[in-house]
Amino acid sequence: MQRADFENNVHQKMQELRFHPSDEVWKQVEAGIGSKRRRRPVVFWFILAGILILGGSYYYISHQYTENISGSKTEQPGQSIAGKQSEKKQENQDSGNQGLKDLSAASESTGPLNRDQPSSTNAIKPAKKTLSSKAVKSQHKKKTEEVSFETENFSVQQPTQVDNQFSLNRGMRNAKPNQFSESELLINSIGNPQVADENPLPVLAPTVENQAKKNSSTDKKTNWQFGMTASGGTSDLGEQLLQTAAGANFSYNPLQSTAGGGINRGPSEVKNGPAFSIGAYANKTLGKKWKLGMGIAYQYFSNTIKVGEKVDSMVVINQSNFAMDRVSQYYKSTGNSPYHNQYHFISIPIHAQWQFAKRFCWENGLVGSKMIKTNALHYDGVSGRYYEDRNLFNDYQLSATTAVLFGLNKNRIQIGPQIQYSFTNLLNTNTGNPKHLRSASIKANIELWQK
Amino acid sequence: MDDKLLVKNCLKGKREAQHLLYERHAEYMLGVCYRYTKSMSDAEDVLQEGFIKVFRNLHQYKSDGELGAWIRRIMVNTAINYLKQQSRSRADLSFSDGTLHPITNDNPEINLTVKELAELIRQLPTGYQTIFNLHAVEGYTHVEIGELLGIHEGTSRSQYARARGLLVSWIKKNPLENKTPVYAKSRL
Repeated sequence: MQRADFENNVHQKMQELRFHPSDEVWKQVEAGIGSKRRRRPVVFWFILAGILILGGSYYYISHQYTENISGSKTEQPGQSIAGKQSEKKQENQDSGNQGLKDLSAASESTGPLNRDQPSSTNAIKPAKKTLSSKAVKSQHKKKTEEVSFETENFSVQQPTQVDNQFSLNRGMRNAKPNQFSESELLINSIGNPQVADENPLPVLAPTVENQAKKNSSTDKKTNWQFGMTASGGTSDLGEQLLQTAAGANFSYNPLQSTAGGGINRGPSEVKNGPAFSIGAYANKTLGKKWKLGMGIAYQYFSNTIKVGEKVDSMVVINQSNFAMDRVSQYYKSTGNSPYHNQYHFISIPIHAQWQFAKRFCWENGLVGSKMIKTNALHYDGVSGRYYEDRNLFNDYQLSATTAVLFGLNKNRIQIGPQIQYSFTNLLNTNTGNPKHLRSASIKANIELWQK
Repeated sequence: MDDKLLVKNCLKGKREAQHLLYERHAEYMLGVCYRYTKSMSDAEDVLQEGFIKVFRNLHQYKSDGELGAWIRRIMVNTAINYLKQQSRSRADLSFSDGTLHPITNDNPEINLTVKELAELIRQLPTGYQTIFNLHAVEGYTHVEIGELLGIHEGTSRSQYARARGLLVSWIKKNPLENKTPVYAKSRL
């Protein structure tokens, strides 16, 4: 009972023990409960939104462009000729319309006449008389739609006034005699089915061949692709490729292995932080499956450690057994506030892409980077303080990247996972363990134009 | 605003409610943290970490219990974790340091103020201090203390007995009057 009384007395007295905490505690608590909910989503949503906006807008623009030219690409030149040839044999009697088709196609090579194309259709008036007016109109419309591809370089694609005699006369009058060599031949043949049947291709062939040549030359020219690249993911620090760093950045911790070090505490555990990059690239096609590329990008890496409160005071920090430095502010090591070590780089990536399947390619590259800014903290295990010192970082980094990309929209958009590992030591000091930046992200390449 | 409504508003993320909850309990909880640590700075670090845990785990609080007791349990656990973390680099958190302090069943009258008694408890070696606080002040059994600290129940009992004996001897001598704690002398 007596023993219980003693404990009861102690217990009662201790219930009255109160102290007023400093204002700093609530600020830290507020930061601690706010950080997890606010910071991460903002960064991740920002990256995701950027990728979606870029991808979506490009897809929309390219889709619009595809729609515009799809009408003209429904028939390949060769197929068009074959179709026309067979049609001619089956529709011998419809020489008037065939003549119209041939005339329109031939008119491509007679530029000045083509601007007066509506008037030239008057020349087929005699042939049209053999058809009903409705049939003529519908067939005429169909034929002129086909022809429009071949005359796409001209402002007038469809005849608007078939019976405009005045236009015909004016066009004929304005045209020079040597411009009608092919047209005259066709016009003369319109009224005569046999002539049209005998001489259909000599006139058309050169035109279609020219078009085919034009197309093939366009294909050959698409050797260069230009676009934007972006990635978003996570990064941390490693002491080796697969070994996570025990402490962030430079950690001088001579008492780590000895017990009874007094004030020594180990450096905070390093946790992953967000990472992203955005930039532009140019790719050169080398053969059917290979592309070589280069670009410029901004890269952001980060990781998170736990620190205590910030103190604005000039103190001496230890960087080795022999080296000391002075800093004007530091963070205590006792505390639970997350601190984001941020590393900003300007990078020049060089990469090679191997298309190993229709929609998949494997991209490997080297990235040369220059650090432009960092707020990362080093650790002094002797005094138990975290401090900033840019001079302890190696400004230039060389990294390797590898990614497997899935192609969308004729491989104009590529997206897939990527990992990056920096060969070079993040620190420029040989004291302590080397640190290497590592990241895993989702990468997207968006091709904007070709040349 | 009662605790139930306060917790509800805190869970909605209302910063005013969170601040009010903190204001209500911070002073008492700092006293709890103070008893387990060696300095006010360390006590505030534990308090800060403890309150972050409180707000992040508030959804786990069941309204049938007392909110203050729930927060205090979190603070005590945070303090224990803090001490364990410290023990990796410090030698003074030991539950079997080899020094045999006298055991006594004396039950002296405590003519000390609250803060003086707290100061005396804080003068105990960290291992003694922790076990004494857990058993005498928080009311944990030795079995619970053994589980919490990862030590044998018997170790907890013996360490408590020695902590109590040391404290009783200090209370009798009232070492605070000499400004130098007996424990400090004994270590020298």
